[in-house]
Amino acid sequence: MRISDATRMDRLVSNTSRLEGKIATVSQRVSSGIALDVPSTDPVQASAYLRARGNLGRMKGYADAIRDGKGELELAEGSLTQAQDIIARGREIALQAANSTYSAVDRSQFAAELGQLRDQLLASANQEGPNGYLFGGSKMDAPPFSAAGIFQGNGDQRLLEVSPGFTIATNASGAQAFTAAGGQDVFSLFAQLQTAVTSNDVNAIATTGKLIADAHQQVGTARGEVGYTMQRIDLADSAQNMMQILWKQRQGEASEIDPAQVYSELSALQNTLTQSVSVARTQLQTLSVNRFG
Amino acid sequence: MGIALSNLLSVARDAMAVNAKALDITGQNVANVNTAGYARRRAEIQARGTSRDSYGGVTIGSITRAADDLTQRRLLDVRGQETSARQRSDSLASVEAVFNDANGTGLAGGLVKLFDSFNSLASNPRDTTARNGVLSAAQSVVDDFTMATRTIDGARADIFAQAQGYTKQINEIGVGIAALSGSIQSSLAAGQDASDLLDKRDMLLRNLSEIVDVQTASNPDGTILVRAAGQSLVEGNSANTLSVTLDTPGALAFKISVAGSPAMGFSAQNMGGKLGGMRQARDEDMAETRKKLDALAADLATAVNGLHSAGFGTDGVAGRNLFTFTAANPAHTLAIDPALAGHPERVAAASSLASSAGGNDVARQIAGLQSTPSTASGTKTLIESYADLVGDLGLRRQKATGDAEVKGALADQIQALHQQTSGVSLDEEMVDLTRYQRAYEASSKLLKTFDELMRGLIQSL
Repeated sequence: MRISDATRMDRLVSNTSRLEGKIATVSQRVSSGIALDVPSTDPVQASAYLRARGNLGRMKGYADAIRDGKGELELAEGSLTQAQDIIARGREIALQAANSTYSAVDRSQFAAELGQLRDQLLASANQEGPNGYLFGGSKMDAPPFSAAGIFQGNGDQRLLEVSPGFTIATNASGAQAFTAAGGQDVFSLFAQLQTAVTSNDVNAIATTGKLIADAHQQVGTARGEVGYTMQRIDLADSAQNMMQILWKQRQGEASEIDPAQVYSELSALQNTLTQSVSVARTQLQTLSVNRFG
Repeated sequence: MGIALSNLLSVARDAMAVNAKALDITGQNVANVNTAGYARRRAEIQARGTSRDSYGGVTIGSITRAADDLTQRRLLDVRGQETSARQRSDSLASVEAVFNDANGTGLAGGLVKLFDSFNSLASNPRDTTARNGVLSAAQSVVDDFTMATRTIDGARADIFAQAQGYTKQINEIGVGIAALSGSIQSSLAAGQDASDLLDKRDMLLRNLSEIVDVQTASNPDGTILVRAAGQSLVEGNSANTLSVTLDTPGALAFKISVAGSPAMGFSAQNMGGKLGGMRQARDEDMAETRKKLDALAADLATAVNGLHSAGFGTDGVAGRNLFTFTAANPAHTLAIDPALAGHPERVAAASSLASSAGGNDVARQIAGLQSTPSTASGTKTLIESYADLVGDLGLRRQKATGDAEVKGALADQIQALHQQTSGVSLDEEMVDLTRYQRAYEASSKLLKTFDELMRGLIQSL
């Protein structure tokens, strides 16, 4: 077999340049930490990377919704807790006022306190969050309860998706918590109690007092529902955290280098290049000595 | 005996001349060891027979050119395939760079941010910042689509300009091959050595095969027929003219013009060479990517608009689209509806007039498009559709790069095979140099011996 000098030189050049090209590519991967320098490096992984990225984006969306939803629910829970405390004080007053030993002055003080409690209750029911009134549904142009305690909101729920296909309401129903729709009209009861205390109508005080106890339970139920929703959000949060870790892992697998494999590949290529250059040097020296030495 | 001594003189003279010529040819080979396309020469030394009219001795029967037409033709073919695949891969590199999401470019980030912005709006429907966030994210998506289409369209325009340049080059090479064929024909007819001309023509053929895949057929008179994509580029000593324009859909349209006849279009499917690689990258790969990008833009705008137009802004108005686009060129014409630009209150988040001040149903539904099949086929999400686009483009370039490597290795093997016959080996030439030098010295010795014999003869008289 004849080996021409052109073939010999071409091989020396092409072997070293091919190895140098490979080393440059692998070095770039090592320095950037990214295996997918371009999609054609591994089209299947490039596609998988994008799917993982899309899913990660969705998981981030769920995480944000969970954070925002939890914030609003915590506010609602706080307002309902406050409302429950106020109603509990109203019930205490009812129990005390039902005792005929209290004087007219005492009853007058009870009546005044009941008026203040009703105002505080109204403030709790009209509490605002970052997205408007907590208990008014989607109606935002006026407080959910008028000064007379009339509900003027709606029953719309503000839903947020916190995991695939799973939505939660981030607002509690004002109607269910404070109006007859939930069993008792809380503001009306406070007005009735105030009237009964003022007129020293012991029977009416006792009857209204019992109903206020029902109202306390009614608001407690609304608060419990908020708490239950928060528990569901926490479960969704754990699930999305786990999914986020998995998708991050998948994204990393698709796009990032395996350090052990890449360093080993780089080392092998560098060794091969060293040997190739050594062979080339020997060949060139041998040829020069034999022909022209 | 007198006649014999005279023959000896002639034999010695011829031997010196033949070996001097052989040394000359060896020198020519050594000098051209690095000349591209040079096929080594060989002096075919023949013994001259002795007869009544001939004194015998030696002569150079011919100077042969160690050409291997079979491997030359195979090399032209495979080099054409290699350059085609390499050019296809190189042309796709600039387009692929636009969809390199793992390195920070691409559309995925923008799409994810758009849906994320609707998600934030769903959480904070009354927040003006969240509404501006939607408009900002939508503008980023528009910008990403615009940049991608500009890159693809720009690459396609560049390739057309390059194709025109290469077509001109093909025509110039064709004229050169035809002219050389004419000269070769004349030289051979006159019994002259046409090796240098053949070397030059082979080099032109090699240059041509890098631009377009060529097939050749030799004629007995020394001319050749050169064909590409089934069309004759050179016939004998006349060259035809190739031209390229764009057809109505905008694809490269090649025409061949034979002298005296109108230009005829032909299919360029198997054109090969750089021109073939460009055509495939431009009119198959990039066209397909562009088509998918258009479909993605149309799917995105249609899906978002479908929900957005049913929703209400905080100004209580419904029926507005978020995006506009033209059906003929969706990706490039995608834009934010001018009615919404600078008007965050017009971004729809609520599903009813009553809830327009704080409702979030529509924003939530649009955010949900990220995980809901919303392409025209109804089976893929927009991100999945984009992943398919990127995967398909990656596969196309990967195949082109792989083909280039395989064909390149094959071409190198055939090149080595061709060089095995045609290439110059300095080792071999050094041996020849010594051999002819020694033969020349021996011939000189012969002449010296004759001289001594003659001197002895003259002195004895």
